[in-house]
Amino acid sequence: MGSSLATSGPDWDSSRIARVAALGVASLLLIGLIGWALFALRVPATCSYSALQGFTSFWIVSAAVAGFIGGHLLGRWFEPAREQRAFAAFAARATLAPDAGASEAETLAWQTGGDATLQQELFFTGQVRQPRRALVVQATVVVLLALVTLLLVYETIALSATNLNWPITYYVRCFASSKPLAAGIGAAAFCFLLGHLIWYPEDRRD
Amino acid sequence: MTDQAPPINPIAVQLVCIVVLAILASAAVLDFYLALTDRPPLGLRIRTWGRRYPGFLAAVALVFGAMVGHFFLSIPE
Repeated sequence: MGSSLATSGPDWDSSRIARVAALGVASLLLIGLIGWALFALRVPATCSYSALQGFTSFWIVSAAVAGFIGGHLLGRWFEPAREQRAFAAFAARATLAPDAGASEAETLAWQTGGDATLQQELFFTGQVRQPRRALVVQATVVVLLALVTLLLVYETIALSATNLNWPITYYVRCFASSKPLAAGIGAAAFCFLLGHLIWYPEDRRD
Repeated sequence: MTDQAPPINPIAVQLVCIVVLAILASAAVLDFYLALTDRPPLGLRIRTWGRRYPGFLAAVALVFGAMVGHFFLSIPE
């Protein structure tokens, strides 16, 4: 089956080039920022862990909301062209399949090797079974949720006795109060990603 | 909750920063790879999954939204 999720490979239009370029630049920037945080970030000896006030709070939250909306809008710009390429590839396969006199098993194989968008829909409606992939997804979700739960447990314990341990909130507020610009960019980038991933544009066929 | 907090631990601040950036970078690199090979983007996969579990996705959005509010928003006293 090989690359069963591939759509139309070599077809490069402007939106695909822009998408690849934007994601490539974002990836490099983020990797660079990790290097900065690792080797060049200097945390002041004293910093405030109180709730942010006034304009700083307002601008960071505004940046986060703008990032969330921006992530959605980027998807709206990119998705139609990608979908168009995917359906063109699917249509080509659909035209060829009956001519080949495919059997039921072959049709199933054709479905799993066809357009990724439709393949996923078939997969999630149970028409195509891929238990190994489902298990990997399930395991990833369980690990991520376990990690979030652990962090929330630590946060709860630390908040109940802040004289013993700093809760994560304090670290974030300390960073935000000493480097508000970096905190705003970080919050906007995180929410941008969330907006792009969990508020993805609706399918035009709906 | 007491008012006195222990001295700041710069390594923990750095760690929080690196963890957040690493999550972002992983997602961006994965999406970059998917875009480069013209495979369905991460967002599309999550949307398809979210259609099956809308409550779950809403809960995730609620938790992350609450975190942003908890960290950065303050109500004037």
